[in-house]
Amino acid sequence: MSAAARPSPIDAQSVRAHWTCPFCALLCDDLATAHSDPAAASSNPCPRSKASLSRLAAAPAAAPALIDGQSAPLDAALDAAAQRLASWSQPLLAGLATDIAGARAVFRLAARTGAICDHMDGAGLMHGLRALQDRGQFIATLAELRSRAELVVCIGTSAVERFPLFFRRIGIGQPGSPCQRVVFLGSVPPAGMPANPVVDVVPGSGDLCADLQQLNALAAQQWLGQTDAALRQLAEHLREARYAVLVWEAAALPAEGALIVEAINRLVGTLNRSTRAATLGLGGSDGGHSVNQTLTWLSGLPLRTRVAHDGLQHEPHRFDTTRLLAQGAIDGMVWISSFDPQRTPPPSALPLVVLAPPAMAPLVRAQACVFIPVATPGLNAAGHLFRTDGPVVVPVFAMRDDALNGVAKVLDGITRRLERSA
Amino acid sequence: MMRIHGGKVFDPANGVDGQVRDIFVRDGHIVAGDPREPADEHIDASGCIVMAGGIDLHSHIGGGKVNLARMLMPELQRSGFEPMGVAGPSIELPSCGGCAPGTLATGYRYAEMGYTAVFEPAMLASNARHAHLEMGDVPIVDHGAYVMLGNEETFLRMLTSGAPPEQLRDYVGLMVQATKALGVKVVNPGGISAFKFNQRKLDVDEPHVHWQVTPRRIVGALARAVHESGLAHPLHIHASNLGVAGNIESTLATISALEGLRGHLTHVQFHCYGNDGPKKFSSAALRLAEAVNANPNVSIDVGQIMFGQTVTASGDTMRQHANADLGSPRKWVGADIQCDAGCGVVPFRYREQSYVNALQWAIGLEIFLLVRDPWRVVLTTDHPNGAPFTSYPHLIRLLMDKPFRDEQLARLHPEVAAQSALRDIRRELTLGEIAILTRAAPARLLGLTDRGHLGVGAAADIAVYQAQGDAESQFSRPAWVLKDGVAVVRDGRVIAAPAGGIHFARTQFDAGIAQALDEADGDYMRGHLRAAAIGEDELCACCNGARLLPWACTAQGV
Repeated sequence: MSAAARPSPIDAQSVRAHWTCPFCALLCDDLATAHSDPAAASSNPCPRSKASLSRLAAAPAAAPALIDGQSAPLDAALDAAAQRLASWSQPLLAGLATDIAGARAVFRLAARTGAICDHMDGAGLMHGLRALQDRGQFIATLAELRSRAELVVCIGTSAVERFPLFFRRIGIGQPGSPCQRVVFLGSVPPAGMPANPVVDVVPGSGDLCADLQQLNALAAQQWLGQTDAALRQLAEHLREARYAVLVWEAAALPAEGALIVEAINRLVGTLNRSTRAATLGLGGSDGGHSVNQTLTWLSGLPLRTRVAHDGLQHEPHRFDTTRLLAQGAIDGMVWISSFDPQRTPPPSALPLVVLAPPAMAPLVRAQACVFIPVATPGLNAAGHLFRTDGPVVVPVFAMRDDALNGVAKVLDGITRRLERSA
Repeated sequence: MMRIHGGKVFDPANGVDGQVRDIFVRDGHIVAGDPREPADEHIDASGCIVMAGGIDLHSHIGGGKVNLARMLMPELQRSGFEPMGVAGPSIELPSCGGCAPGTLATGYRYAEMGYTAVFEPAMLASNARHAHLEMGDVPIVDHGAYVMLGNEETFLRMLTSGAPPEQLRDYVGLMVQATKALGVKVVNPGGISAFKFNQRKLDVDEPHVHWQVTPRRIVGALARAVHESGLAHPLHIHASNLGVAGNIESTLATISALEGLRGHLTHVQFHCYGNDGPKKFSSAALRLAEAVNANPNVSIDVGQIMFGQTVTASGDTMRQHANADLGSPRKWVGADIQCDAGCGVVPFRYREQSYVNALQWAIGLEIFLLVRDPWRVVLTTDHPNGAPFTSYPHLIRLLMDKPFRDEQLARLHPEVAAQSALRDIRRELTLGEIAILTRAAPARLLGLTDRGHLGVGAAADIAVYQAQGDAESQFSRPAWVLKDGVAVVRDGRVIAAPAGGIHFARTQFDAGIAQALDEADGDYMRGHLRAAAIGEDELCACCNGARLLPWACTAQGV
C-alpha cells in the first residue's frame, strides 16, 4: 500500500440534493433536500439524526489541538502524539468511529506500532461476528426486505431506539409492501406502527435464548412437551411465509449474545430447507462495520486483532477495550470518535491520544492527553461507510467545509513521524 | 533505459518461442533497443526464461463474498495456534495467507509468482464500491472486475416485458459505466433470483418461477448486449447447474444459447460432469473439449481443483445452498442482496480419496489437455474455489510433465486412478503454451492490447524465471518481476509494493436509460439507487490513487 487515500471530491451542487445521514448505519439519503442545511432541517423525521447534528453544532468556533489541555498547533500535536505512541510497548487503537479511509490509516498505524484494534461497539459487533465464525449465517439486505419479506420478526429489539427510521426504510405500511405481519419477540412494538400490516407481540419467557431454542425445535417440527402457544403460532407463521426475515440488534443483546445470534441463524437455516428466510442484523453505526470490513480485507482478520510483523492475533474475547484496561494489558490508547463528540474515551489513567470533533475538546481538556480535532464524514468531510446490512458501501459527502482534517490524514501524519524516527 | 539481456524469451503474441533476445525498457514501457546504446540498468537473464507478467482473468480477490470468507474462516489465518508472521526482514505489511488471504498478501503472493494483473470476476452492482475499495488495497498488480448481471430484478423485468435490444444494450452500457467494470458476468442465469422465490433448480430451458424467463434467453440477451456495447471481453458465463452430475447438458445448451456470439465459459471444470458409471458421476471433458474445438466463438477458463482445504465463494446462492451440507468445516454464509444478486460462501476440503474430488481433479486436467487452441483456454483455479492461486506453479508442472502427472494420479481414489482418460493423454504443454494460457490469451480475451506480451510499446510488466529445476519451482520464485518497468520482486520476494492500476471500460449508451431505471427501481431501492454511478475521481480514491486504465468501447448498431 502506498499513498494515503485521497478524499473523494466534493461536488456541492449534486451533494446538497442528496444528503446522506452518517449518524446510524441505515445511512438514509432522503432526509434533507436541496439547499437545506441538515442541522436546520425541521423536516428531518429522525430523532437520532437531529440529536447528532445538534451535539456537533455545540462546537467552539475555533478548534485548536490540545496537548495536556493547552492549545497547540497541529504539527506540535502530531509530534507529541507520535512521541507518546513510540514510547508505549502495547498500544490500543480504540473507539475507531471513522470511515473506510480512516480504517485504512488505522491499519497502517497499527502495523507500525504493533497495536491492538477494537471498536467502541466492539462487544456488540462480536456477537454477530462470533456466530458467523462458528456456524455461518444467511442474510438479506434492506431492499430485499422491502420487496420480498412477508413476515418480519424483531427479536429482542424494537429496532427504532437506535435505528429510528428502520420500518420506514423497509417500507412497512407503505403501498406495495409485501409485508403482512411484523412480530416482536421478547420486545415491545414502538409507538406509531401503521395499522397494516398485523403487529404481533410474543412476550416469551424473558429468556430469549430459551425461547429461541423452543422456536428452533418447533420450526424443525421436532416433538416437544409443553410449548408456548404464541411461539407455536410464530413457528407456523415462519414455516408458511414465503420469505421471512429475522431482525436482531447487536447493541440490544446481553453478554454472550453470540448464542442468541447463533440460534437465530440456525432457525433461518432450518426454514431455508423448505421455504425462504434470512436474517438482518442492526448494528455497525459509528463506522463499526466500515472498520471491521476494512481491517478484515487488509489483513485477513477482523476487529479485536493485534496487528504486528510477528503475526496477526485475533482474540474476540481478550482484546476487548474494557477488559484490556481492567487488566492493565495496554499502556496507552488512541481513541477515535469522529461522529459523536459525547462518546469520550473510557475512564483510565493511561496516556491518551484523542481524535474527535471539536465539540469533544471541552470534555477532555482536563485530561492528560493529546487532542486532535477531526472532521465528521458526511457533515464536513466526504467518505465511504458500510450500511448495517453488509454488502452496501455508501458514499457520504461534505455539506460544508470547516477546514478540519479527516481521521486518515491525522493518523497518516502520526505514522509518517513514527517511520521517520525509526 | 534498462536492458534485460540473455534470456530465453517466450512471447507468443509476437511469435517468439524461446529465442534468446534482449528486452529494453524505458519509462515503464518496452522499447526498441539498440544493443550499442548504453543501458543504465542491467538485468542478467542468462539461464532464465522471460515472459510478460502473468494475467489472471478469474480470481476472487475482492468484494463482499471474499471478505465474508475471511470472516467465516479465522482459523485459516493462523498457523496451528500461532499467529502467522511476516518471514524475515520485509517491506510487507502484516497480512495473512491461507486460501482467503488479506488483500495485501494477495498482491504480494501474486507478484511473487510473476503475475502483474488479476481480475475479480463477480462484482455485484450493489457491492461495487466495496469491491473497488478492496481491490484498491491489493498492491502491485493491476486489477479490474466484471459486473454481475442477469439476476437483478431490473434486468429480469426488462426482459420479461420485452424490452428491445437497444434498451438492453444501453442498460448494460450504463451498468458497466456506473460500476466501473471491465466486463460483464452472468452467474447461474436467473437462478440467483429464482432462489429468492424458493426455486431450487433452474435448467437452461426452464422458466424462472416468477419472471418466467429462461436462462437461455438471459444468456442470449446479455451476450448480444455485451457485443453491441463494444466491450472487448465477451460475456463471462458461470453456467447453470454448477457441480451437478450430468451438467454437461446445461453447459452445451448454454453454448448454443450464444447463437454464435462470443462467450467465455468460466470454471468449466465445475460444469463438465456426466452421470454415467456406477456412481452416476463421470467426466464429460471430451464432450466439452469437442464443443470448444468446434465453436470458435467460445473461450474457457478451467477452474482446476487441488487437494486440501479451501473456501468456495460464489454469487450462485442456489447452488451454494445445495452444496452447503457438503462443506468442511460445516458452516456457510449466504445472502440475498438488494434485488440484485446474492452470494454463498462454503468452506471445502478436496480429498484425494474422494471419488468425486479425484474425478474433478482429473476432469480439469483433461480439459486443459484436450482443447486444441491454447488461445481460448486460460489457466485458473477459480481462486479460491478450486484452490488458492498460489497453487499455479504446481498446476503448471502437472500440465508440462506427464510422469509427474501420472505420479499424482496414482495417489488418488483407486477407481479414478484406474479409469481416468487422463492416463492416456500424452500431451505435455510447452513453455510457449504456458505463456499463452497464463499471459497472452487472457490479455487478448480482455482486450488489453498493451499487456500480456513483450512487443515494443507494451507495458513493461515482465517476469524473469530461473530455468532450473522443475516447472513448479521455476514458476514459484521468479528472479525478477517488473511492474511498469519497476522492479517489484527479486529472488521471489517483494521489494516494492506500488499501488496497481485499475482497468475499466468506458461505454457509450443513451443517458436516458438512467432516469428510466431510477423511476422503475424506486420502490425497491428507496435510497441508494443501485445504479448510483461511481465517478472516475471516486474510483481513484477507492483505489488508493491507482492509475486509471480506461478502455474505450464503441457501441455497435443493434
